[in-house]
Amino acid sequence: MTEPSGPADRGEFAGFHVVDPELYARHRDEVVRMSTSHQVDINEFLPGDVRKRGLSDAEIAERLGLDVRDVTEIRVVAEHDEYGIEEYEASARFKDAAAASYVERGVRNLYEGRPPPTRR
Amino acid sequence: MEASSPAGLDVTDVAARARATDEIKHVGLSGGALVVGVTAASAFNEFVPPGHRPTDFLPGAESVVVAGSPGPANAAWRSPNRRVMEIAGYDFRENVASIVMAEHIEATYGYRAIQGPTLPTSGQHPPLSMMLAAVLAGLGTRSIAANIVLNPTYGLLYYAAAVTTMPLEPDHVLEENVCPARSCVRLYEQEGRTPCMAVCPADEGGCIDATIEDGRIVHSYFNRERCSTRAMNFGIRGHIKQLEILMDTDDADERHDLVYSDDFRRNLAAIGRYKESVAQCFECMRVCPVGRYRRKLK
Repeated sequence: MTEPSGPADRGEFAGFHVVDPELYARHRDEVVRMSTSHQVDINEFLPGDVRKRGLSDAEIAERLGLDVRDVTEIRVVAEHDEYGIEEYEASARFKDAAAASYVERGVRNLYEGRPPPTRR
Repeated sequence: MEASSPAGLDVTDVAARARATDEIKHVGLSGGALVVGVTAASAFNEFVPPGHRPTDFLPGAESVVVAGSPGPANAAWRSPNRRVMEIAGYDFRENVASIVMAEHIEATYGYRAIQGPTLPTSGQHPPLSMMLAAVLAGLGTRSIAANIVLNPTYGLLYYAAAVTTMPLEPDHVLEENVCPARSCVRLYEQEGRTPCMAVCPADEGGCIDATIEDGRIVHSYFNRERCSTRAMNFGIRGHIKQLEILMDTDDADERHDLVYSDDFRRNLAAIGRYKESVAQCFECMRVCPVGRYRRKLK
């Protein structure tokens, strides 16, 4: 792979670039999985043959045979599309419950097998 | 590489380089950092692709000086109102320390130095990983909890860095992974979960998962996008969601109610006062034992 030569290679293109919806739908999931959205075994202390890392937009473009500007735009839109606004509401309720549990009993609820409900 | 810097520092003299390194660290500590460490710029190459290495931002970069600072005040972790942490959990001190060190390197030693670029320039991707910088500079190791770097003394810290062409004496990566703590290993052996996994399990609508064998992490998973809905619960991302709803709303009264709602205002406030836009969820860190003893106060 060649060294990046410009902002597009780094996933930093400037300007308005819209991806064809069909292209987005076809590659959305695999772009998300190949990037850093879902981080699997990235801990630097894992053995080299186990440790993984997310790919850059340029690397994803190369693997999928796509234009790097399309990959960047697919990734950025897909990052938002992973969860709808209802997840933001659920997250607020989760934080209410988790913080209240800690204020009430520290970590004892966790050690006694009563974690705060993740969703409410 | 020139044998001497414009300030007369002989960079081939290990002792002189070590003295300069210590002096720069003290400048960072005086500038607001709680911890400062140094790594060679080339150490990044094993872990990140081209485009995300120090030399991609500062050609000829030799060293990365990393500053760490705490987030919420110790007492805030037990506040009965979680909003205290949401809006006051992060104060950018480490960023100030990093730019102070960069300016000091340029003014005192005559080498080029920049503040490491951290804020995402495209979606969620940081140009240069400060978490990796902290690990390489020996300030901590990644944890099960959202891959957050834990300092062995302080636990959660925030990191920023100065990237410089100045050769400095690097610190060593920690010999042992800070995570999991012994008490977490015991809970994992009993329940199959550490405290952070119990509070935010990926398989029950949370963000994290891991496998521990012989007291060590052998597999880890972190769902950054779900974490974003918590750690960036209101701000740019929430505002975009609201705009989408707004555009699909035909009724003028409904549009009025949405635009004037408290949630709409809160998203805009977080964007305007950027400090509130990040670090809005601390639940995996709240139950982490690393550094927690420091929060026991009168």
